[in-house]
Amino acid sequence: MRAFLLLAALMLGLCPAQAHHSTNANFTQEIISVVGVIERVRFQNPHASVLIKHTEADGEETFWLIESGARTTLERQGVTLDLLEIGSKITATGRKGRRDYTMYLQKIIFEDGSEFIPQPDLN
Amino acid sequence: MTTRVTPLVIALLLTTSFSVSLISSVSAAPELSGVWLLNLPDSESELFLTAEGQRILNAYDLLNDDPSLACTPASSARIWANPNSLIKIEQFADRVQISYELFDLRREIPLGDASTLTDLPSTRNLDGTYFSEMGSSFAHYEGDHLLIESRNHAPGYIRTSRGIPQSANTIALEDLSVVDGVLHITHTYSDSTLFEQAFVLNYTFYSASETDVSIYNCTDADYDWFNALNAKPEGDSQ
Repeated sequence: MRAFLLLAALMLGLCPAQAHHSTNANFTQEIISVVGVIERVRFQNPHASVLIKHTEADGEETFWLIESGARTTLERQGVTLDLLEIGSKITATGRKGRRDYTMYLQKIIFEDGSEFIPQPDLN
Repeated sequence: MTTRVTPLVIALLLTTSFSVSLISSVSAAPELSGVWLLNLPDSESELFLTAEGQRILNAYDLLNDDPSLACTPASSARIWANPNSLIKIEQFADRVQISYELFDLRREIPLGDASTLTDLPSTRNLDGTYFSEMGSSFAHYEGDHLLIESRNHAPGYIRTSRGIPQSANTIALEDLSVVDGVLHITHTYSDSTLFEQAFVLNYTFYSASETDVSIYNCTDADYDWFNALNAKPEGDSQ
């Protein structure tokens, strides 16, 4: 477990009923959180995503890809990613991906403490 | 009162008669038309693979081999079983057209027997790219059911989460019916090179409020661009 993971891994016993089949295959049930600055927001298919840059205490930088549902699905649910501004510092929480530095987004917390939960039914 | 029958009237009458004929033909078929969304969970039969089927499954690497990473359908089963993606079924006198929102796939299935099969796959996307992973299909009605048979598949994966394969020998039968407003599909895969017994999947769909599928425009489905961001420079051992 890398040092920059803020939360200890939790085993989430739930298997989201609305989850994409490949989502369950591509992401573990382990919940992690990562702090980073938003570099890019991609509202597209097959997955909307937010790219953040995380900086470790020693200055090493890594990019994390925080993935969410398909654009078409989010649009039908009335979700946009307009709140996510480039340069904003956030804490992203979600299911750790099987690919390095990836996560399936559950929640973003902004510096002012406000939260963004795009798909509450998946949490 | 005297009616003058002009050529235009004759043409109209003939057109109307032809249209009625088409509608009558369609109205005899069960009503499957509409826009549908997958219910979860779906289900599947026990899997009995041959040695070759097991070899392909064991070699499958989800993170690299999933055709979805190239916006390509892995199989018709994979496309049916995609949650939150609209599917539109339209029935015509001579064909059934299925529009899958996922990857903007349009599948045109002639009504008839195997003689209606052509060399072309039945499915292409909006850019006109054909996908033989979805097979070449023909269909006919039996009572309240629409039966779609597909052959000539390119190798692909019936389930991309586990790498359950299909091959050029695969024959797939989709049995569609609507019961109490719910679309039921039983999807049976037979392939003696891969399966000791037929592999059967069952899905149900509910009627969506939408009247059409959205444009999907699949882009950057792979992770190459992202992996490049974290790639260490050559010679950096850390």
